[in-house]
Amino acid sequence: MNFDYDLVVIGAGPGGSMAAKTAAENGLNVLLVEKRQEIGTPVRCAEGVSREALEGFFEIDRSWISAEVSGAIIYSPDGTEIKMDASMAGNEVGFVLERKIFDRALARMAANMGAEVIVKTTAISMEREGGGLRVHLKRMGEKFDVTAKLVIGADGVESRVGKWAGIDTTMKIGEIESCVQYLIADIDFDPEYTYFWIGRKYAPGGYVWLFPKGSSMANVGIGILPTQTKKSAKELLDGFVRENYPDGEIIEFVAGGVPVTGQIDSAVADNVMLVGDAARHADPITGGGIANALKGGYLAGLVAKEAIERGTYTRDFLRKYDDLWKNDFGKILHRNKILQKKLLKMDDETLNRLARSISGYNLSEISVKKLVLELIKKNPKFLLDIKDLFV
Amino acid sequence: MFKSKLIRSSNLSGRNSGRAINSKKNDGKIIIDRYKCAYCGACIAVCKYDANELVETFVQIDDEKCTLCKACVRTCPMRAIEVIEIETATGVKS
Repeated sequence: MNFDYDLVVIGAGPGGSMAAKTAAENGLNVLLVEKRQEIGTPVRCAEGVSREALEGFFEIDRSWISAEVSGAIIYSPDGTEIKMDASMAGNEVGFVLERKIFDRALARMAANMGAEVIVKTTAISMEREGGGLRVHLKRMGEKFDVTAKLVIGADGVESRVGKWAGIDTTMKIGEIESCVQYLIADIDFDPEYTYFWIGRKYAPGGYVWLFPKGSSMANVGIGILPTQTKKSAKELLDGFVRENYPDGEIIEFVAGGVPVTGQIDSAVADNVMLVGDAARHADPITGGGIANALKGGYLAGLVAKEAIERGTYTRDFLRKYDDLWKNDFGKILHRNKILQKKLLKMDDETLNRLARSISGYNLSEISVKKLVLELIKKNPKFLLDIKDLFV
Repeated sequence: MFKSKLIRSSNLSGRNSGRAINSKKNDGKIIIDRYKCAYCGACIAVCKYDANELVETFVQIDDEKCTLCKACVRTCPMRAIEVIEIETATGVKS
Protein backbone atom coordinates (compact mmCIF):
# COMPACT_ATOMS: atom_id res chain seq x y z
CA MET A 1 0.00 0.00 0.00
CA ASN A 2 1.15 3.53 -0.77
CA PHE A 3 0.94 5.87 2.16
CA ASP A 4 0.37 9.62 1.94
CA TYR A 5 2.98 10.22 4.62
CA ASP A 6 5.69 8.40 6.52
CA LEU A 7 4.61 10.21 9.67
CA VAL A 8 1.65 12.28 10.82
CA VAL A 9 2.28 14.33 13.97
CA ILE A 10 -0.85 15.44 15.80
CA GLY A 11 -0.35 18.62 17.82
CA ALA A 12 2.07 21.48 17.10
CA GLY A 13 3.26 22.33 20.60
CA PRO A 14 6.97 22.01 21.43
CA GLY A 15 6.84 18.18 21.51
CA GLY A 16 5.01 17.80 18.21
CA SER A 17 6.99 20.40 16.32
CA MET A 18 10.24 18.95 17.63
CA ALA A 19 9.22 15.46 16.49
CA ALA A 20 8.16 16.77 13.07
CA LYS A 21 11.35 18.80 12.70
CA THR A 22 13.58 15.87 13.66
CA ALA A 23 11.80 13.41 11.39
CA ALA A 24 11.72 15.81 8.42
CA GLU A 25 15.38 16.67 8.97
CA ASN A 26 16.08 12.95 8.66
CA GLY A 27 14.32 12.68 5.33
CA LEU A 28 10.85 11.56 6.36
CA ASN A 29 7.73 12.72 4.61
CA VAL A 30 5.90 14.43 7.48
CA LEU A 31 2.52 16.09 8.09
CA LEU A 32 2.14 18.23 11.23
CA VAL A 33 -1.50 18.82 12.23
CA GLU A 34 -2.66 21.53 14.65
CA LYS A 35 -6.28 21.85 15.71
CA ARG A 36 -6.05 25.49 16.66
CA GLN A 37 -6.10 28.20 14.05
CA GLU A 38 -3.05 29.81 15.63
CA ILE A 39 0.00 27.82 16.70
CA GLY A 40 1.16 28.96 20.14
CA THR A 41 -2.15 30.31 21.42
CA PRO A 42 -4.00 30.16 23.67
CA VAL A 43 -1.06 29.56 25.99
CA ARG A 44 -1.61 26.99 28.72
CA CYS A 45 1.72 27.22 30.46
CA ALA A 46 3.76 29.11 33.07
CA GLU A 47 6.52 29.29 30.44
CA GLY A 48 9.51 28.45 32.64
CA VAL A 49 12.36 26.36 31.23
CA SER A 50 16.03 25.92 32.01
CA ARG A 51 18.70 27.31 29.71
CA GLU A 52 20.14 23.83 29.42
CA ALA A 53 16.90 22.40 28.01
CA LEU A 54 17.01 24.80 25.07
CA GLU A 55 20.76 24.92 24.52
CA GLY A 56 20.86 21.21 23.86
CA PHE A 57 18.75 21.66 20.74
CA PHE A 58 18.88 25.19 19.44
CA GLU A 59 20.78 28.32 18.81
CA ILE A 60 18.67 30.34 21.25
CA ASP A 61 16.86 33.27 19.69
CA ARG A 62 16.33 36.19 22.10
CA SER A 63 12.84 36.78 20.78
CA TRP A 64 11.70 33.53 22.43
CA ILE A 65 12.78 34.75 25.85
CA SER A 66 10.56 37.03 27.88
CA ALA A 67 12.80 37.09 30.96
CA GLU A 68 15.93 35.48 32.32
CA VAL A 69 16.25 34.53 35.99
CA SER A 70 19.22 33.52 38.09
CA GLY A 71 17.48 32.12 41.12
CA ALA A 72 14.38 30.81 42.82
CA ILE A 73 12.81 31.61 46.18
CA ILE A 74 10.48 29.17 47.91
CA TYR A 75 8.17 30.34 50.70
CA SER A 76 6.82 27.86 53.22
CA PRO A 77 3.35 28.52 54.68
CA ASP A 78 4.71 30.66 57.56
CA GLY A 79 6.84 32.72 55.17
CA THR A 80 10.19 31.01 55.79
CA GLU A 81 12.35 31.59 52.75
CA ILE A 82 14.56 29.12 50.89
CA LYS A 83 16.78 30.79 48.36
CA MET A 84 18.48 29.15 45.42
CA ASP A 85 20.79 31.50 43.60
CA ALA A 86 22.84 30.37 40.63
CA SER A 87 24.29 33.76 39.71
CA MET A 88 27.28 33.56 42.10
CA ALA A 89 28.30 30.09 41.04
CA GLY A 90 27.79 30.86 37.36
CA ASN A 91 25.41 27.96 37.17
CA GLU A 92 22.64 27.55 34.68
CA VAL A 93 19.88 30.07 34.72
CA GLY A 94 16.24 29.80 33.84
CA PHE A 95 14.21 31.36 31.08
CA VAL A 96 10.65 32.50 31.07
CA LEU A 97 9.59 31.98 27.48
CA GLU A 98 7.18 33.79 25.23
CA ARG A 99 5.38 30.61 24.17
CA LYS A 100 3.40 32.37 21.47
CA ILE A 101 6.69 33.15 19.72
CA PHE A 102 8.59 30.02 20.72
CA ASP A 103 5.93 27.56 19.53
CA ARG A 104 5.67 29.30 16.19
CA ALA A 105 9.44 29.32 15.79
CA LEU A 106 9.49 25.56 16.34
CA ALA A 107 6.68 24.91 13.86
CA ARG A 108 8.56 27.07 11.39
CA MET A 109 11.71 24.99 11.91
CA ALA A 110 9.68 21.86 11.14
CA ALA A 111 8.32 23.53 8.00
CA ASN A 112 11.81 24.65 6.96
CA MET A 113 12.97 21.05 7.23
CA GLY A 114 10.26 20.05 4.80
CA ALA A 115 7.32 19.06 7.00
CA GLU A 116 3.86 19.99 5.76
CA VAL A 117 1.90 21.95 8.35
CA ILE A 118 -1.87 22.23 8.54
CA VAL A 119 -3.73 24.32 11.13
CA LYS A 120 -7.38 24.63 12.23
CA THR A 121 -7.61 20.89 11.66
CA THR A 122 -8.70 18.36 14.26
CA ALA A 123 -7.89 14.67 14.23
CA ILE A 124 -11.19 12.94 14.91
CA SER A 125 -10.25 9.26 14.78
CA MET A 126 -7.87 6.77 13.26
CA GLU A 127 -7.83 3.12 12.32
CA ARG A 128 -5.27 0.57 11.16
CA GLU A 129 -5.07 -0.11 7.46
CA GLY A 130 -2.55 -1.97 5.33
CA GLY A 131 0.10 -2.07 8.05
CA GLY A 132 -0.25 1.66 8.70
CA LEU A 133 -2.93 4.04 9.90
CA ARG A 134 -5.73 6.00 8.31
CA VAL A 135 -6.19 9.27 10.20
CA HIS A 136 -9.52 11.05 9.91
CA LEU A 137 -9.25 14.82 10.02
CA LYS A 138 -11.77 17.63 10.09
CA ARG A 139 -11.11 21.13 8.90
CA MET A 140 -13.76 23.83 9.18
CA GLY A 141 -16.49 21.21 9.13
CA GLU A 142 -15.07 19.29 6.21
CA LYS A 143 -13.91 15.74 6.80
CA PHE A 144 -11.00 14.14 4.98
CA ASP A 145 -8.38 11.54 5.73
CA VAL A 146 -4.73 10.74 5.23
CA THR A 147 -2.73 7.54 5.53
CA ALA A 148 0.61 7.18 7.29
CA LYS A 149 3.03 4.54 8.42
CA LEU A 150 3.41 6.19 11.82
CA VAL A 151 1.53 8.65 13.99
CA ILE A 152 3.06 10.67 16.81
CA GLY A 153 0.45 11.88 19.29
CA ALA A 154 1.58 15.22 20.68
CA ASP A 155 -1.97 16.27 21.42
CA GLY A 156 -1.41 17.53 24.92
CA VAL A 157 -3.00 16.85 28.26
CA GLU A 158 -6.34 16.16 26.54
CA SER A 159 -4.71 13.58 24.24
CA ARG A 160 -7.03 11.29 22.34
CA VAL A 161 -4.43 9.63 20.14
CA GLY A 162 -3.32 7.50 23.08
CA LYS A 163 -6.91 6.46 23.80
CA TRP A 164 -7.48 5.50 20.15
CA ALA A 165 -4.27 3.48 20.05
CA GLY A 166 -5.09 1.66 23.27
CA ILE A 167 -2.33 3.29 25.34
CA ASP A 168 -3.87 3.83 28.74
CA THR A 169 -3.06 7.38 29.77
CA THR A 170 -6.35 8.27 31.46
CA MET A 171 -5.60 10.15 34.63
CA LYS A 172 -7.31 9.90 37.96
CA ILE A 173 -8.24 13.25 39.44
CA GLY A 174 -5.38 12.82 41.90
CA GLU A 175 -2.95 12.78 38.98
CA ILE A 176 -3.70 16.13 37.39
CA GLU A 177 -2.85 19.59 38.59
CA SER A 178 -5.75 21.93 37.99
CA CYS A 179 -4.16 25.28 37.09
CA VAL A 180 -5.05 28.92 36.59
CA GLN A 181 -2.65 31.73 35.85
CA TYR A 182 -2.85 35.48 35.41
CA LEU A 183 -0.36 37.63 33.59
CA ILE A 184 -0.27 40.58 35.98
CA ALA A 185 1.16 43.98 35.06
CA ASP A 186 2.37 46.77 37.31
CA ILE A 187 3.51 44.76 40.33
CA ASP A 188 6.70 44.87 42.42
CA PHE A 189 9.18 42.00 42.74
CA ASP A 190 12.86 41.29 42.12
CA PRO A 191 12.93 40.07 38.49
CA GLU A 192 16.14 38.09 39.10
CA TYR A 193 14.09 35.34 40.76
CA THR A 194 11.17 33.00 40.25
CA TYR A 195 8.98 32.53 43.33
CA PHE A 196 7.10 29.56 44.75
CA TRP A 197 4.63 29.38 47.63
CA ILE A 198 4.04 25.89 48.98
CA GLY A 199 1.69 24.24 51.46
CA ARG A 200 -2.03 23.68 51.94
CA LYS A 201 -2.45 27.30 53.00
CA TYR A 202 -1.71 28.41 49.45
CA ALA A 203 -2.21 25.49 47.11
CA PRO A 204 -3.34 22.06 48.34
CA GLY A 205 -1.35 19.44 46.43
CA GLY A 206 0.54 21.98 44.36
CA TYR A 207 2.02 25.45 44.61
CA VAL A 208 1.59 29.10 43.68
CA TRP A 209 4.20 30.53 41.33
CA LEU A 210 5.40 33.88 40.11
CA PHE A 211 7.52 33.85 36.94
CA PRO A 212 8.80 37.26 35.80
CA LYS A 213 7.94 38.45 32.33
CA GLY A 214 9.88 41.68 32.50
CA SER A 215 10.54 44.06 35.35
CA SER A 216 7.01 44.72 36.62
CA MET A 217 5.00 41.98 34.96
CA ALA A 218 4.74 38.28 35.79
CA ASN A 219 2.88 35.02 35.30
CA VAL A 220 1.23 34.44 38.68
CA GLY A 221 -0.45 31.08 38.81
CA ILE A 222 -1.58 28.15 40.88
CA GLY A 223 -1.75 24.39 40.49
CA ILE A 224 -3.78 22.25 42.87
CA LEU A 225 -4.79 18.61 43.08
CA PRO A 226 -8.58 18.39 42.87
CA THR A 227 -8.51 15.56 45.43
CA GLN A 228 -6.90 17.83 48.03
CA THR A 229 -9.43 20.66 48.18
CA LYS A 230 -13.05 21.51 47.50
CA LYS A 231 -12.08 24.96 46.23
CA SER A 232 -11.29 25.62 42.60
CA ALA A 233 -7.88 26.72 41.34
CA LYS A 234 -9.39 30.06 40.36
CA GLU A 235 -10.90 30.73 43.78
CA LEU A 236 -7.58 29.98 45.49
CA LEU A 237 -5.54 32.10 43.08
CA ASP A 238 -7.97 35.00 43.42
CA GLY A 239 -7.48 34.85 47.19
CA PHE A 240 -3.70 34.85 46.81
CA VAL A 241 -3.67 37.74 44.37
CA ARG A 242 -6.06 39.84 46.49
CA GLU A 243 -3.75 39.43 49.44
CA ASN A 244 -0.38 39.81 47.71
CA TYR A 245 -0.81 41.80 44.51
CA PRO A 246 -4.04 43.73 44.98
CA ASP A 247 -2.94 46.65 42.81
CA GLY A 248 -1.75 44.70 39.80
CA GLU A 249 -3.71 44.58 36.58
CA ILE A 250 -4.52 41.23 35.04
CA ILE A 251 -3.86 41.43 31.32
CA GLU A 252 -4.10 37.77 30.41
CA PHE A 253 -5.91 34.75 31.75
CA VAL A 254 -4.71 31.17 31.34
CA ALA A 255 -6.05 27.81 32.51
CA GLY A 256 -4.64 24.35 32.18
CA GLY A 257 -4.29 20.81 33.40
CA VAL A 258 -0.83 19.41 34.09
CA PRO A 259 -0.34 15.66 34.21
CA VAL A 260 1.53 14.58 37.35
CA THR A 261 1.05 10.88 36.76
CA GLY A 262 4.74 10.03 36.94
CA GLN A 263 6.36 7.60 34.56
CA ILE A 264 3.82 5.62 32.50
CA ASP A 265 4.61 2.02 31.51
CA SER A 266 4.69 2.64 27.81
CA ALA A 267 4.09 5.52 25.43
CA VAL A 268 3.88 3.35 22.30
CA ALA A 269 1.51 1.05 20.43
CA ASP A 270 1.69 -0.42 16.92
CA ASN A 271 2.37 2.53 14.56
CA VAL A 272 1.98 5.08 17.39
CA MET A 273 4.21 7.04 19.78
CA LEU A 274 3.17 9.70 22.30
CA VAL A 275 5.23 12.71 23.34
CA GLY A 276 4.98 15.56 25.83
CA ASP A 277 1.88 15.96 28.01
CA ALA A 278 0.12 13.32 25.88
CA ALA A 279 2.69 10.84 27.25
CA ARG A 280 2.31 12.36 30.74
CA HIS A 281 5.92 13.52 30.55
CA ALA A 282 5.45 16.59 32.76
CA ASP A 283 7.42 16.59 36.00
CA PRO A 284 5.30 15.58 39.05
CA ILE A 285 7.13 18.04 41.32
CA THR A 286 7.75 21.11 39.20
CA GLY A 287 4.94 20.59 36.69
CA GLY A 288 7.46 21.57 34.02
CA GLY A 289 6.79 19.98 30.64
CA ILE A 290 8.68 21.85 27.92
CA ALA A 291 12.11 20.29 28.44
CA ASN A 292 10.80 16.72 28.39
CA ALA A 293 8.49 17.45 25.46
CA LEU A 294 11.47 18.68 23.43
CA LYS A 295 13.57 15.65 24.36
CA GLY A 296 10.70 13.22 23.84
CA GLY A 297 9.86 14.81 20.48
CA TYR A 298 13.47 14.55 19.40
CA LEU A 299 13.79 10.92 20.48
CA ALA A 300 10.46 9.93 18.89
CA GLY A 301 11.57 11.64 15.66
CA LEU A 302 14.78 9.60 15.63
CA VAL A 303 12.98 6.34 16.32
CA ALA A 304 10.47 7.19 13.57
CA LYS A 305 13.34 7.57 11.13
CA GLU A 306 14.74 4.19 12.09
CA ALA A 307 11.34 2.52 11.90
CA ILE A 308 10.77 3.89 8.38
CA GLU A 309 14.23 2.76 7.25
CA ARG A 310 13.56 -0.75 8.46
CA GLY A 311 9.91 -0.81 7.44
CA THR A 312 8.97 -1.94 10.96
CA TYR A 313 6.18 -0.13 12.77
CA THR A 314 5.31 -2.59 15.47
CA ARG A 315 4.93 -1.83 19.13
CA ASP A 316 7.91 -4.08 19.83
CA PHE A 317 10.16 -2.01 17.65
CA LEU A 318 8.80 1.35 18.85
CA ARG A 319 9.55 0.32 22.41
CA LYS A 320 12.99 1.59 21.57
CA TYR A 321 11.48 5.04 22.10
CA ASP A 322 10.23 3.92 25.53
CA ASP A 323 13.74 2.79 26.43
CA LEU A 324 15.23 6.09 25.31
CA TRP A 325 12.89 8.42 27.20
CA LYS A 326 12.85 6.23 30.29
CA ASN A 327 16.64 6.18 30.44
CA ASP A 328 16.72 9.90 29.93
CA PHE A 329 14.08 11.75 31.97
CA GLY A 330 11.85 8.79 32.90
CA LYS A 331 13.97 8.09 35.95
CA ILE A 332 13.39 11.62 37.19
CA LEU A 333 9.64 11.35 36.61
CA HIS A 334 9.68 8.20 38.72
CA ARG A 335 11.81 9.76 41.47
CA ASN A 336 9.79 12.96 41.62
CA LYS A 337 6.50 11.04 41.75
CA ILE A 338 7.72 9.36 44.93
CA LEU A 339 8.86 12.73 46.30
CA GLN A 340 5.45 14.22 45.46
CA LYS A 341 3.66 11.45 47.39
CA LYS A 342 5.93 12.09 50.35
CA LEU A 343 5.25 15.84 50.24
CA LEU A 344 1.49 15.29 50.01
CA LYS A 345 1.59 13.59 53.40
CA MET A 346 3.20 16.60 55.06
CA ASP A 347 1.11 19.21 56.83
CA ASP A 348 2.01 22.90 56.74
CA GLU A 349 3.84 22.81 60.08
CA THR A 350 6.10 20.03 58.78
CA LEU A 351 6.87 22.06 55.67
CA ASN A 352 7.69 25.07 57.86
CA ARG A 353 10.04 22.95 59.95
CA LEU A 354 11.81 21.58 56.87
CA ALA A 355 12.11 25.06 55.37
CA ARG A 356 13.57 26.45 58.61
CA SER A 357 16.17 23.67 58.64
CA ILE A 358 17.82 25.03 55.49
CA SER A 359 16.65 28.65 55.49
CA GLY A 360 19.57 31.06 55.27
CA TYR A 361 21.74 28.60 53.35
CA ASN A 362 22.37 29.87 49.89
CA LEU A 363 21.88 26.99 47.51
CA SER A 364 23.94 27.72 44.43
CA GLU A 365 21.88 25.70 42.01
CA ILE A 366 18.21 25.75 41.02
CA SER A 367 17.42 22.08 41.19
CA VAL A 368 15.02 19.78 42.99
CA LYS A 369 17.84 17.33 43.60
CA LYS A 370 20.11 19.88 45.23
CA LEU A 371 17.28 21.14 47.42
CA VAL A 372 16.25 17.67 48.58
CA LEU A 373 19.86 16.64 49.25
CA GLU A 374 20.25 19.67 51.49
CA LEU A 375 17.02 18.79 53.30
CA ILE A 376 18.18 15.18 53.74
CA LYS A 377 21.43 16.40 55.26
CA LYS A 378 19.54 18.39 57.89
CA ASN A 379 16.68 15.93 58.44
CA PRO A 380 18.25 12.51 57.84
CA LYS A 381 15.80 10.43 59.84
CA PHE A 382 12.66 12.13 58.61
CA LEU A 383 13.66 11.77 54.96
CA LEU A 384 15.39 8.41 55.29
CA ASP A 385 12.90 6.64 52.99
CA ILE A 386 13.67 8.86 50.00
CA LYS A 387 17.41 9.14 50.58
CA ASP A 388 18.38 6.39 48.15
CA LEU A 389 16.52 8.08 45.32
CA PHE A 390 18.63 11.20 45.55
CA VAL A 391 22.08 10.15 46.65
CA MET B 1 -39.24 11.69 23.51
CA PHE B 2 -40.80 13.52 26.40
CA LYS B 3 -40.54 17.23 26.77
CA SER B 4 -38.14 17.97 29.57
CA LYS B 5 -37.01 20.97 31.51
CA LEU B 6 -33.70 21.32 33.25
CA ILE B 7 -33.35 21.96 36.93
CA ARG B 8 -30.07 22.71 38.64
CA SER B 9 -28.78 20.34 41.24
CA SER B 10 -25.61 20.62 43.22
CA ASN B 11 -25.38 17.14 44.57
CA LEU B 12 -26.74 14.71 42.07
CA SER B 13 -24.23 11.95 42.61
CA GLY B 14 -25.15 11.72 46.27
CA ARG B 15 -28.79 11.22 45.43
CA ASN B 16 -27.98 8.69 42.81
CA SER B 17 -25.60 6.56 44.77
CA GLY B 18 -26.26 2.90 44.34
CA ARG B 19 -27.79 3.13 40.90
CA ALA B 20 -26.37 1.42 37.89
CA ILE B 21 -24.04 3.75 36.04
CA ASN B 22 -25.85 3.69 32.73
CA SER B 23 -29.21 4.60 34.17
CA LYS B 24 -27.80 7.85 35.53
CA LYS B 25 -27.97 9.62 32.26
CA ASN B 26 -31.74 9.34 32.31
CA ASP B 27 -31.99 12.08 34.87
CA GLY B 28 -28.83 14.14 34.64
CA LYS B 29 -26.67 15.90 32.13
CA ILE B 30 -23.26 17.56 32.13
CA ILE B 31 -23.30 21.16 31.02
CA ILE B 32 -20.41 23.54 30.44
CA ASP B 33 -20.76 27.24 31.01
CA ARG B 34 -19.07 28.55 27.88
CA TYR B 35 -18.62 31.96 29.44
CA LYS B 36 -16.55 30.47 32.26
CA CYS B 37 -14.72 27.75 30.29
CA ALA B 38 -11.11 28.62 29.46
CA TYR B 39 -10.84 25.64 27.06
CA CYS B 40 -7.83 24.13 28.81
CA GLY B 41 -8.73 20.47 28.27
CA ALA B 42 -8.22 19.32 31.86
CA CYS B 43 -11.73 17.80 31.80
CA ILE B 44 -10.86 15.66 28.79
CA ALA B 45 -7.70 14.35 30.42
CA VAL B 46 -9.64 12.85 33.33
CA CYS B 47 -12.54 11.39 31.33
CA LYS B 48 -12.40 7.60 31.42
CA TYR B 49 -15.26 7.28 28.95
CA ASP B 50 -13.91 9.34 26.06
CA ALA B 51 -17.10 11.38 26.40
CA ASN B 52 -15.69 14.84 25.77
CA GLU B 53 -13.46 16.56 23.29
CA LEU B 54 -11.73 19.93 23.02
CA VAL B 55 -12.63 21.20 19.56
CA GLU B 56 -10.29 24.13 19.08
CA THR B 57 -11.69 26.39 21.79
CA PHE B 58 -14.83 24.66 22.96
CA VAL B 59 -15.54 21.45 24.78
CA GLN B 60 -18.04 19.07 23.27
CA ILE B 61 -19.79 16.46 25.43
CA ASP B 62 -21.09 13.14 24.17
CA ASP B 63 -24.10 12.52 26.44
CA GLU B 64 -24.34 8.95 25.24
CA LYS B 65 -20.91 8.12 26.60
CA CYS B 66 -21.03 10.31 29.73
CA THR B 67 -21.77 8.43 32.95
CA LEU B 68 -22.00 11.50 35.18
CA CYS B 69 -18.98 10.36 37.20
CA LYS B 70 -18.15 14.04 37.78
CA ALA B 71 -14.36 13.66 37.48
CA CYS B 72 -14.43 16.63 35.06
CA VAL B 73 -16.58 18.71 37.42
CA ARG B 74 -13.99 18.35 40.17
CA THR B 75 -10.98 18.91 37.90
CA CYS B 76 -12.15 22.07 36.11
CA PRO B 77 -9.95 24.97 37.29
CA MET B 78 -12.74 27.41 36.40
CA ARG B 79 -15.69 25.57 37.96
CA ALA B 80 -17.31 25.84 34.57
CA ILE B 81 -18.82 22.34 34.55
CA GLU B 82 -21.84 21.17 36.44
CA VAL B 83 -24.38 18.40 36.45
CA ILE B 84 -27.94 19.46 35.95
CA GLU B 85 -30.92 17.36 36.78
CA ILE B 86 -33.51 16.66 34.12
CA GLU B 87 -37.10 16.64 35.27
CA THR B 88 -39.99 15.73 33.02
CA ALA B 89 -42.62 18.31 32.18
CA THR B 90 -45.18 16.54 34.33
CA GLY B 91 -43.01 17.11 37.38
CA VAL B 92 -42.37 13.40 37.81
CA LYS B 93 -38.69 12.56 37.91
CA SER B 94 -37.73 10.03 35.31
